[in-house]
Amino acid sequence: MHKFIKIGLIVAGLAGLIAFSQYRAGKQQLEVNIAKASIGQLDDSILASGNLVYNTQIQIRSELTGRVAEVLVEEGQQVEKDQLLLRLDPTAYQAEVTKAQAMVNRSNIEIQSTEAALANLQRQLDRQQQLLRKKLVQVETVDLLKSEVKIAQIAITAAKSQLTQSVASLLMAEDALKKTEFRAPIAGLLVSVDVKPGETVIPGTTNIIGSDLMTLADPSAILAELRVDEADINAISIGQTATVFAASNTDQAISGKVIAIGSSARLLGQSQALSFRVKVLLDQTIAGLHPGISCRAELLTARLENTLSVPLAAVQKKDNNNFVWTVKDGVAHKTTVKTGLATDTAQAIIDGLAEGQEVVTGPARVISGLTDGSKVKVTELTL
Amino acid sequence: MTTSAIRTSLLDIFIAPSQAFANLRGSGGNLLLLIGQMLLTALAFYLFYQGMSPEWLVEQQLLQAGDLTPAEIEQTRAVMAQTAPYTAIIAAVSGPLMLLLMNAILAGYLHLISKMSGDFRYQDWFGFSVWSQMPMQLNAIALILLVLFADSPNLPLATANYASLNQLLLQLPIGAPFYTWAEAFSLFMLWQIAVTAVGLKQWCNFSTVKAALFAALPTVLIFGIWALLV
Repeated sequence: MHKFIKIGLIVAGLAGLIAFSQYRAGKQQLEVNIAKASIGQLDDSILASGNLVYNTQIQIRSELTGRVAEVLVEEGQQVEKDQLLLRLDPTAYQAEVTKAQAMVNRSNIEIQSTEAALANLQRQLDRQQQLLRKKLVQVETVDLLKSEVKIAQIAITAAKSQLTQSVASLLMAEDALKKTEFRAPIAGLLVSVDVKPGETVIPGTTNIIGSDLMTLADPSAILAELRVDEADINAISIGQTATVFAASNTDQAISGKVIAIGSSARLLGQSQALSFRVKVLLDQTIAGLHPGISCRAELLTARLENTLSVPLAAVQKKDNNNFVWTVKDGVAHKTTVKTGLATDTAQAIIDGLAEGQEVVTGPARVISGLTDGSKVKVTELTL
Repeated sequence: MTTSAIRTSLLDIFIAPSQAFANLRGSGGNLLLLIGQMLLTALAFYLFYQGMSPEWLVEQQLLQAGDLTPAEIEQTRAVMAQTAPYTAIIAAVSGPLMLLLMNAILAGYLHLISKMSGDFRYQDWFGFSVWSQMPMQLNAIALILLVLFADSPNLPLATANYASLNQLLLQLPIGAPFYTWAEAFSLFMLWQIAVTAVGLKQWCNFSTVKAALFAALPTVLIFGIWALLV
């Protein structure tokens, strides 16, 4: 074979390889996702998670020690105000009342007896004084009787005090007896019933929490008790609006307002970071919301109207300059922008872009390889 | 060996390798050719990597790294980000050194098998292996042209294997079991084996089959064992 033909074949082969590689590279044009810069409302928000609780929730605990005789309600039951919920065995407390009553009676009898003795002494003293005026008895006799009258008067006062004490004991015993019956302090829903007949309950003391008997709540108002990270707390204020998503209704947004902010940072939940407890009162209650359910909330901290923005992923930063990749006629251009408020998903653009301009939002791997003038193929347009 | 003979052999090694090896028989090593090959390899690697942005390089290397956990990705990214700006220099230095090493190993192998017939020194075989590497230099030239003609300097790393079995025929995706294997196997390796076989036949008077067998043996062993391990 002529050597020029061989050289020609080798060159053609190499050119073919290069051309094939170029063709494949052309087919593998940089595929990008884009979005259009748009004017609209931009909300800055803070995300937090927590749990739902009833706004009014009462823990019913015992002030007495005793055995539960009867539980008259069930968990989840609606109850009226003052409805009887539970009864402790009253035997011992009934006996205390009887005993106190007997003490009162005894005190009354004591007073009557002492008053009778005083009246008798008084009569004797009158008689002896008449005899003394006629000089028939000695002065000492009259003085002795006077002294006895005085002692009798003191005895009456003491008996009356004893009566007061007995009455007080009776009142305490009656109160204790009354406390063996537990009645609903408000109309509401029994969230939990924690005791059963036969169990012994104890009252709380300084270091021991008494037995939980029941939890009664007003289900008409529900709170989201949120754990807000300490770094975000300064942006939260009373009255801010929030959107809450309960774990049981993740696709349903429930609006609410911040009604309370914890005063100190604490370790809340399982998180190792310090956070503040923030309470959000939900504007409405919907079916399926139960206390204890986990929830997440978006707390609106700032709102800008009529603001030009792009997705956050579109904004790149290099050497303290922000820029985006704009796309025009399939070609990417590096465009420097001045940025404003940023939310979790969007970035406000103060200068450098116009409404409707297309910007590259991803994929990140492709963005890192873009150069001014790179040919790109749009695979996805985010509106 | 005269300059004109070298010039003739530079062309003959591609179009008439038998003639080229006949002229080169027992001529020892050619330092200038080796240096030229090393420089061309260095230039090809340097041009290929020098235009790439460090971010692009890191992403491309991560893409080749296969399945990693997010923690591993971050760790690898941090390490790669440190070396990415120096990739072109590292490749331009390590590429020619690898070429030198490969030549030395191949020369040793050829020296070993030539003891069955013929009487050549190690440096003769070193020169032989340098000449047999010439098809790989065409590969380097084509890579330089590819880089120069590319729209963007940020080329996929697989561009360096543009003549591989994978890119010409198989088109396996990244992550496929035989992807790296098929990317490494190049058309130019077949050419090099063919040139080596012709050279062995010329120098050692081997039969065509025997020469082809000995020329292909190192590649067959490496790729065969590799394929078994995949």
